[in-house]
Amino acid sequence: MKVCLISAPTANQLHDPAMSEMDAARIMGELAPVGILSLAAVLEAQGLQPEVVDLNRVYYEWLQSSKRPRNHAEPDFCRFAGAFFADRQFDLFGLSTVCSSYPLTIRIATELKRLYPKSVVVLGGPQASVVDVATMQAYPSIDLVVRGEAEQSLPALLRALANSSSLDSLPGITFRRGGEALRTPDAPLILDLDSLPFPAFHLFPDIRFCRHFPLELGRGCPFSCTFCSTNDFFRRRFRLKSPARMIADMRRVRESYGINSFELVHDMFTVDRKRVVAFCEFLLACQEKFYWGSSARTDCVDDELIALMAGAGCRGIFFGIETGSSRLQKIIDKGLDLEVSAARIRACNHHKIKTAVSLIAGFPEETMADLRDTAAFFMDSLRCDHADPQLSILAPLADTPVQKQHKDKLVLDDCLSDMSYRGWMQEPEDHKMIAEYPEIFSSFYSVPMPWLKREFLKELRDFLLNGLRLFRWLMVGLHEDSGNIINVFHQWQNWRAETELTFPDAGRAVYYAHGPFARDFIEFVQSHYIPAVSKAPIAMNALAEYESALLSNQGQAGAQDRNSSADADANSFISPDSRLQLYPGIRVLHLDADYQEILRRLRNSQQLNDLDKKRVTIVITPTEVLQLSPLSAELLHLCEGQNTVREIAEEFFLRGVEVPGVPPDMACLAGIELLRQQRLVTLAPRG
Amino acid sequence: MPQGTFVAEREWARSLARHVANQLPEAIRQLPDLNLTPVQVQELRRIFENTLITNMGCEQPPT
Repeated sequence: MKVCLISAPTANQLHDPAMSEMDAARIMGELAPVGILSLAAVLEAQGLQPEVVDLNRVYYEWLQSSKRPRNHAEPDFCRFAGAFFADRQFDLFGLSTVCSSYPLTIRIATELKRLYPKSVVVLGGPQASVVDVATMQAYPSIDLVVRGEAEQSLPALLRALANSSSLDSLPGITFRRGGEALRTPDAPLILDLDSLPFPAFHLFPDIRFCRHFPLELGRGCPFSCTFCSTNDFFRRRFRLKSPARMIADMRRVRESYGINSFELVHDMFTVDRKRVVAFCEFLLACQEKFYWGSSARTDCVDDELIALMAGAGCRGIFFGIETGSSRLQKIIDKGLDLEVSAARIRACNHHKIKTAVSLIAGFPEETMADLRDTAAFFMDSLRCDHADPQLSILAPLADTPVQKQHKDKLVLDDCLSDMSYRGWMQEPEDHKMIAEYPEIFSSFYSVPMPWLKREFLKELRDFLLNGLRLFRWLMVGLHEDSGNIINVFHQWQNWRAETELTFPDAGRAVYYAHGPFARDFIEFVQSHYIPAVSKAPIAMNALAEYESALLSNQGQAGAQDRNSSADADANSFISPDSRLQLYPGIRVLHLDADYQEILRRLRNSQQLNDLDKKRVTIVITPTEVLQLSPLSAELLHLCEGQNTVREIAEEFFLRGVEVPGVPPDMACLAGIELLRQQRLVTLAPRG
Repeated sequence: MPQGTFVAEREWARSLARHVANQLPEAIRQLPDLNLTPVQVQELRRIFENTLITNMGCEQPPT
């Protein structure tokens, strides 16, 4: 039997016209469909030769084709995808599904059935597994659904189809008989994950471009959060591959692809502390350099375990915090102690482990007080340099408790949740499907929110995410100064209304992501917030001036100029008559507060309102920003006038700098050389 | 400033700067004629130490 396994579309960044082919390949590689590749390996082990088609790659090629002359371009992606499979005579198409691209996957499946009516079209993966019956009733083009883990049920299905035998006795299958969709009992879980073969990465060429190689670490989460769908697919039975197996797979990847950094895929790695310790100790005993990231709950790790994980190469942890409200923590059955969560994030920060701090807003029971708590948790996470807070708006994923509870009250409007959207373009056909079948496509709907407005949430999300991207410490400073960033958000909205600042036609999201939000917001802070509201104007002025300077510096002299100048200067020695000047492309900024001290206070949650005035010099280069020591700043200032080294040294001498046992001129030379090495000053051209 | 100092000092100044910048911890050992004590080096480092506030657009590789 000739089988084609097709991954779900998941890449949402491929539209960027500035993206290079290499970047696109890297993104597609890092989104490798580990489930599909595991199935392909199982089929290969049974003597089949499945093909794997990555719909991200097909989509990218369609985007590229659309750049060619119109008469060569197919305007419809589904037709393009259908034609992609022409002349290859597959007996079975197996399409993986996720909620964010489910309408598109069904349209492609329908197109495949139209073009190749004799082929069997099968859906699998997390989305089809929970809306199997409804999907098959709504879309006759879908012949079968394989539910849940399919490493055992898919080969059994292929054998049954090859022998034209009954499907009634196959577990984990939904099939059609007499126009009715019938479900067989669920397939048993695969308890021994070590029994699975190494995924068929050789069938996925883009894998060689990834930086962080995805490898499945285990399956199953014993928790039962009301919004989460993972239990529907992998169930609550926690399973982990053995340390020996994982290290063997990591070595194999390193030897085959030269990659030693891994995304270890598991919904909840740290359930069993002993097994995490065993994995880390095994890695340490190997004395091989592997770097990895995985998911964890903050109540399933402790400082000692975090230190061990860091020592064993852990460089990233995904923490699902979900809400900063203790009240909602109980309602959604997450049950985290938020003080413990914050402490764990700080512990990871201490060990330089990057943390994704995932938060969700828009629960049906959420009030403004809850939202303020979530915003505060988001902002306090920003105080950790290695934390990356995320904020999604709740999507009622199919068959989750929150979806089942509110299924008759779901709302379909333009405030679709990014939790399910994930950036995929929705075509008019998709909208029609979504509107027609809320049960199948519930993730594109909103739950009722009696206490909050969805439009407010969407804008708050854009404000926070773009704010942290554009000016992290200004945002943290505003949060510290105002008591809660939502206070600032309200003032920002009011100021915009008063100044009649409207969103462009392209919409709110574009304004925040690509429009003049940064410029407008800094103007708001400087012209309104600081004079009218701020309790710490010295610090807030410094933060705003710093960000304003960075913003206006964008697009000026680039790193390339900097490097070429450096080449000319690198091997030249200074002489007393050498003239010095500022390095091309740097910008000198003077602030009235110690910026480094402000950051130190913000990192430590200390107030800003007793900060004294202090003149400091900041240098902005194309690649970094430095706060100069007072003497470095004086030297830099002397270099600004194209003074000779002799003149600078004499001036320095007159200022009576005393380093015990080191003559001032020697100290001056050391300082000048340091500025040269940091590429802040350079020799001026002769003449 | 005596003119001759540059001939002898240009190399050590560069090495010392590297030491101040933590780029060459063995600079002092390599330049014994400097006769700087660790305390003096520490003091030079303190007075000229610039603080990195941020890298812009540089993703840190795992180390």
